[in-house]
Amino acid sequence: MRQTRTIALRELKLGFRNPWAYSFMALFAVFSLALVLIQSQEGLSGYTSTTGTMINLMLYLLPLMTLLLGSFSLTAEKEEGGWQLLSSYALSTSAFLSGKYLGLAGVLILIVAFGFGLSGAIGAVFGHAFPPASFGLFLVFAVLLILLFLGIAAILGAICRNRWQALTYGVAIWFFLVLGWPTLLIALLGFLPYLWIKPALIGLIFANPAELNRLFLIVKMGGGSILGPEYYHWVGWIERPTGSLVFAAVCVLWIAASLGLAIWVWERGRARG
Amino acid sequence: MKKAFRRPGGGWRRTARAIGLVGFLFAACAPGTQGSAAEEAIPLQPLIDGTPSGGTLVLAGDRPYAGPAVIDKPISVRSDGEARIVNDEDEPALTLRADGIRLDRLSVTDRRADPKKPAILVQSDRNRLEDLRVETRGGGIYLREANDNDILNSRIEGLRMNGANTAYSKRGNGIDLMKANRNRIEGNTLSYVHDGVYVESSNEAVVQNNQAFDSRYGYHFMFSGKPLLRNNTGSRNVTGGMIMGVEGAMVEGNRFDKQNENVHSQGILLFDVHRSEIVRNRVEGNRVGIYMEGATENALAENEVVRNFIGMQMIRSAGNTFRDGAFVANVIQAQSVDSKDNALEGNYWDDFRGLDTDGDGFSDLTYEIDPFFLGLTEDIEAYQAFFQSPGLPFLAQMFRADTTNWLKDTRPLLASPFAPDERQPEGNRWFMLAACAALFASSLAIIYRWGYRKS
Repeated sequence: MRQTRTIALRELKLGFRNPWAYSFMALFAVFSLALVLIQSQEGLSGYTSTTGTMINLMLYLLPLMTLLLGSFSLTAEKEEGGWQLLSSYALSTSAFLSGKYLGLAGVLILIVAFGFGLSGAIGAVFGHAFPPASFGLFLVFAVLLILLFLGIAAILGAICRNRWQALTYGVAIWFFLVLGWPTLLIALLGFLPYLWIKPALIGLIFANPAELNRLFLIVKMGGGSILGPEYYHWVGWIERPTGSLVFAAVCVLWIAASLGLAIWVWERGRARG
Repeated sequence: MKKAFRRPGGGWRRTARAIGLVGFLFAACAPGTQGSAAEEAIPLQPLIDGTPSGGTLVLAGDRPYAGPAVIDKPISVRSDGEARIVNDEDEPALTLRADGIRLDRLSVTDRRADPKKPAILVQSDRNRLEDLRVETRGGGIYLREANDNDILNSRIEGLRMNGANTAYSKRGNGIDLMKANRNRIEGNTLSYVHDGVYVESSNEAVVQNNQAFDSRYGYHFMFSGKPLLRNNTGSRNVTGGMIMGVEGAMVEGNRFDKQNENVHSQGILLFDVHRSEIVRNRVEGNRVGIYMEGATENALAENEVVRNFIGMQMIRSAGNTFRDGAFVANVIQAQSVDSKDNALEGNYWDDFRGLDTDGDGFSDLTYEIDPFFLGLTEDIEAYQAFFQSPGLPFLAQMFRADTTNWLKDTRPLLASPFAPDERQPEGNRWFMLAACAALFASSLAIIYRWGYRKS
């Protein structure tokens, strides 16, 4: 536990020595501020074009930011010899990676808190403040996106040998899960018999943290009916308080599974030297 | 010590018993109070039979009367307060068979749970029903082959005892017109019913200034000529105004909001509607603001479409015009498939940055509406899960080849013609300013303390 804490604090410190953290922080703050100021005052509450645009901004930026910062931090340990040094101490892989995970989550959440705080405060000055409920949902959504994608970043960092490789894979995964997702799915699902499409689609949504989070947020913002009769039961189920609990459980499972996989891959690399 | 503690308790119990006794005596002495209402209700029919044609029957405001009753001569029935007519029998509480009857300030409670059976049945002409209060487990006021009637300022409340969750099929309509022409329905409040106002095969119905909420459809017109739907409001229904198989309807100045819970919700639904005018309505916060299917040659003008998930949806519709309206803060502003020759002109689209070279306030660039997503989900409904997916514009862009058949606003207005909404509450704003400033400051402090600072 103390090892994990030490690694996490070290990660926090290293994270903010990294110029990438500041460039992402600036990017996120500037874009969310610009969006808040462009929007009309109508539609700040509920599921509207204004809130929809904010959701999309987060979906574009946060997964990419998380994947790159997360995987770079891990591969840097390999490239720069940090891990070689640390592994000469009595430090388990799981404590090391959990510490890295927690520290990185801290760094990313601070970046988001900075951006939201800045844009929210300036927006409020200009009379474009989101209602507290929407703002709170956005924060939760952003944090969940970071935590889930950080799991993927950990696996990526464990697999890749250097930052270049991590960059290539990271951008590919981001493109696959965020930008190309509907295109790929529509192309693939077209081969399935009609009745299999919906179950397959739902299964695949659980495999994509960006879509899973997005749909959950839309339902929680009261937009569930837009998904149509096909998802009637799903929406009714998520709207209930137990839906949030189950969703939280799914997220925890996701994080545990991806971190577990990352530890396993890392261990394998360690055993082989 | 123990005694001292016990005494107040015993005294309290005695006092309570004394109060109970006084209450019982009082109840026993006062005649006709609520406690024994059901048994003591006075049969209404003999009172009606005893009233001469053209006369007035005044019911005592604090007494219950028992239905069912049939009125077969032109009389007035009113009460000096709000007389309660209770009905448990198989017939409607009141049946109007003669022309020129007036009902005023009555309260009708119908406890039969059959959606096909109304509390009040009107089968005659030129009657005036005013200030009624109808509580029903079935239907409210039904007009059958009844013309030129007025139903004014009444309140009809449907099944609520099981909460608002009672299946729509188990509820009756609030006001239901069948083969009934030229009736006026004005100033009524309809709630927890199947359809607030249902008009079928009835021409020239005038429906004005009513409110309908928590029902299936607020106002529902089927196969009726020239109905007028003006200045009504509808909230939290499955659909606010549903117009089907109608020619020459006038839908004006209505306000439909928050029809968004059901997967089939709309503000205004026009199905197989032709040569009708839909003007100056405001649809806000619905799943779909205005939905048109198989509708032709309608004129939509000056409508405000705000904060809906989809502003307007047009399917297999042709020759409609949509002018001088505003589309603001809808997640998707409009969608259209299999529709042609629809003219959009002079509307304000809040997501559009146009170009105005001649300074007339209208953009010289057109606003184009991409049919891609609607086309995609029409075949496979499960794809609706991609609604607003960040990767979808990317895909739509790749398929964006020929836009000649797209729905377009040829002359988009660059500034909203409508006054902006009332500003958000100031308290909210200051709270958010303080909260965001705190979030910003604490993130900076943490970054400085555990990130930046050496040691």
